[in-house]
Amino acid sequence: MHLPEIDRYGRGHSPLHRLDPRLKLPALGVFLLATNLTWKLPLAALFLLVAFLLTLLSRLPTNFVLWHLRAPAALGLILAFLLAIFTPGAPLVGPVTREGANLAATVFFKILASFLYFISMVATAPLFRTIQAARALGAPEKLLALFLFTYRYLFALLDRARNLSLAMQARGFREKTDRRTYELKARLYALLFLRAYEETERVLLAMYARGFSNPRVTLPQPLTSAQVLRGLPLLSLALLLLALNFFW
Amino acid sequence: MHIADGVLPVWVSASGWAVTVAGLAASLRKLPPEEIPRLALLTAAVFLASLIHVPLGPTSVHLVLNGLTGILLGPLAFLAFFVALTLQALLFQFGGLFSLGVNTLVMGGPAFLVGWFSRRSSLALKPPLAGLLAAAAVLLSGILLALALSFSGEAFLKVARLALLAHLPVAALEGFITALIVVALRKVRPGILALALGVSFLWIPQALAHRLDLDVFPEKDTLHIEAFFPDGTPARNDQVVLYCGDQKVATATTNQEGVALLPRPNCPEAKVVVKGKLGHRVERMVKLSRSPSPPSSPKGHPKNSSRAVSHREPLPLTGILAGLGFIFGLSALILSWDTRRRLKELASPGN
Repeated sequence: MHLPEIDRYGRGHSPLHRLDPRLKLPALGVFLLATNLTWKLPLAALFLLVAFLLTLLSRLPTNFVLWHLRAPAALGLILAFLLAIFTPGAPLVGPVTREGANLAATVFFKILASFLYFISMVATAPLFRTIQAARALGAPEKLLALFLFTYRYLFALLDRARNLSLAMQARGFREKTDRRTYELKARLYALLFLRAYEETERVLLAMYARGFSNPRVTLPQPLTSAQVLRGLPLLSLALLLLALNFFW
Repeated sequence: MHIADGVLPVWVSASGWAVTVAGLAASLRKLPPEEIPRLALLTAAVFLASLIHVPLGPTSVHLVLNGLTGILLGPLAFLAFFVALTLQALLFQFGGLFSLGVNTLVMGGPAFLVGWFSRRSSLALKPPLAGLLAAAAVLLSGILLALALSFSGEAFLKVARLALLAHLPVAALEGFITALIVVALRKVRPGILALALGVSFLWIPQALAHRLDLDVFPEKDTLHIEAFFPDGTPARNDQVVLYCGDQKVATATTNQEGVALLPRPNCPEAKVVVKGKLGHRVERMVKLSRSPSPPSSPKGHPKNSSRAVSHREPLPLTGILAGLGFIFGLSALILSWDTRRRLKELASPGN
């Protein structure tokens, strides 16, 4: 069991790293809206190309991007295959129709483009800065605090989950599709929840003892005009792509 | 189970976000700030548990756990699922930020329903019913997923059918394992599920959660007093004090049914005070004319002397079934309208 860190390369010196997350998050929203609006193959290909160029601009390590690309690419390929054979139309190759291939490619490009926009905007800043930006943009503080606490506890509980799995393997547990395996897995889940409950009491008492009452997510410093100017090209590009949907 | 960005039409994603934002706003309003760390730990546990794979034939699947989360967290499971799905989108790129609203509805919606049910009925803590609820939650998630996909086009409709079919074995497995988890929790730490219900009580406004209520029935020589909490649970072994003006005239303790009998005082108006545990307290003025008087409570005077008054509200099963029927009916209407539109498009001369 492994938990990847999306902000492992959040501190860098690329043009995207230098942009404030308060500008990158709205730009990401517009990029995603533009990409999700289109159902035309040339436009989807153009959006993918722009997303690819932005990812190059972010100077994120290729291995890191490829590792995170696995899930959307796999899901996208399965979906594209099904769409290619299920869409009615003129036959192209075997069960694949011309319309099906067109739709499959469009959807696949859109999935990849959405992912690349996401990673180039979110992975180029420490996660805490992105959360602060969300707070500055009006996201509820309680929700963000819950998110930050959950993210923190994930890594604490992960060790316990690893220990439990390791203990099972050390005692010769081998997985099969049978009742015994399911019973043991159910006990593993139950133990994980029990450990979490025990932890809640301990953590809460410790926090109350330190005067905890209301979690706060601090606001970042106000944006300077230089920061806004630096973000304008990105926002303009996002708006241009959005406008293309209506004029293409 | 997760819908990636770029698959759904924008109006479906936007509608999903709109409903999810409304659900989140309601959940956040009910969540006391000091309980955030507790909910966060349980959300983290749900997230990690959903990463553990379970073998199924030649492959392995990971459980959705929305039924179990509903049982453990109550209606706040919706909030927990939103956070867990955001983390999955951020860390593993399962789903996406644009389709996060729909994904939360697909998985958190059934968790909310199970949580709502389990908060009203302790039956949800019985392993067989817990298993059934978990299987139903996964099936409902499958239906919602298929519904969301079906809005994207005819080709997606077939994908949606396949996705729904793929949910059947997962639902059966999820139901079976959830029942086993509940068995294990009851065996290892019987109080843990009650504690889980305690967490789900966060959903109840605090003023309501701590409110004690009472009914007073004046009789010929006695005052029949019943003390209870809003969910109908009797207030047991609590002290009842009767005042005439400022003078204390009698005291008693409620029995296991929350009932106490006090002698009827000779004053025109008396004050009944019930002092419960943990600071619960309720008082009520009662007019005591010698003529037969109406009860002080709007619940009505029981007709017979056995006082078989139940304050517990029965589970509105008919209402639940009618609501589910309404949702399915509405879905069927939308689907039939969509299919008719597509058929018309196909039959149009341009095609």
